[in-house]
Amino acid sequence: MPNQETSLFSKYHFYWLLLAAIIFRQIPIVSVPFNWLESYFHELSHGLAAIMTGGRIVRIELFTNGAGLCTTQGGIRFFVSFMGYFGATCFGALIYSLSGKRLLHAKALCGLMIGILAITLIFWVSDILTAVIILMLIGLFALKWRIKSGYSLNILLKFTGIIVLLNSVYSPLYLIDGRSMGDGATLANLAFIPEFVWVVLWSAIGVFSLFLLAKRSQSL
Amino acid sequence: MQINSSTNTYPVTQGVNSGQNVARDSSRIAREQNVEDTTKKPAQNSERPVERLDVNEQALAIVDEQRQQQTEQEAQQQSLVLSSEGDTNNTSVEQVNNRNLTAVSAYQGVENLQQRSDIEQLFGVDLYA
Repeated sequence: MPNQETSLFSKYHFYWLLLAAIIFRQIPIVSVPFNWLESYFHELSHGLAAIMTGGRIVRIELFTNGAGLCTTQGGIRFFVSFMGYFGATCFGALIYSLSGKRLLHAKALCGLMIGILAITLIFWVSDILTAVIILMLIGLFALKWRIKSGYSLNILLKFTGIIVLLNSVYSPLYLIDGRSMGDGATLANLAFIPEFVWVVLWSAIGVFSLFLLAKRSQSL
Repeated sequence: MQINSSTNTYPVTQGVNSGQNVARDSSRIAREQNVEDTTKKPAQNSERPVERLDVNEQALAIVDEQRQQQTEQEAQQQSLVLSSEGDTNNTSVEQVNNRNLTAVSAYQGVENLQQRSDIEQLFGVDLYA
């Protein structure tokens, strides 16, 4: 029986984790660091897109309410604007996919995340609040690093990836507020395609990523 | 040198729709007359035709009437708001507060948008939220 139960969990672990992430997102205080994480990946994606298109990151700011701001100079504005939500989705899927079952792989992923966060802190953070938030995110991955069980670490990292993905599905929806602000409005001005279309596209990419991961998890 | 007065071409009855306009025009006429008196030479004063300020009594009466109506309307509106608040046990107050909050956030949104574009133009950077 225990083996059957384990295999039932293993077989449908993606859906269990998705359900847990949906419930976890509703809990007010504990879900906040994961909002920061999604916001961080969003801003970092803007910055990386600017670097990839010949620009540079001036600074990255994060706020306690889950908002963020990335100041860049140069780069292709259309690409940089689009990459925010898309990049966050990519990071979420990447965390889920790279959380290997072996302890070494999972620890390597934690180390990679700590490294990226540390680079951000050193080069692109210039205010105390953002520094504190980044340090807390480093602490989040450092705590995971200390876990000795490869299976538990794998599950935790997958859970983190799914939460980031879920946030990247939901967060574009906040742009539908009639204020014409944010990345959707910027893209609408640049490409003459309504903001709503971009919002739907970003959310659809997030849902599609979840679908792909679900399919992949069942085939494993 | 001859200084033309604008009082003759600006009748008091022009602003009859608003009491404030009438008051402002009257004071302006008086001020212009004073300026004219001090700037004109004594020799010219004797040549100048005597200016008359015709106050249209009918217009003033209409303005007074309009003011009175406006005050009555405001009083009626206030009493209506107070009675509805009493009936709905602070529901209307909450609705007003919510409406205020929405208005403030919309206003701040516009302000931030303006600030954002100002910063972008000033420093030649792009901001992404």
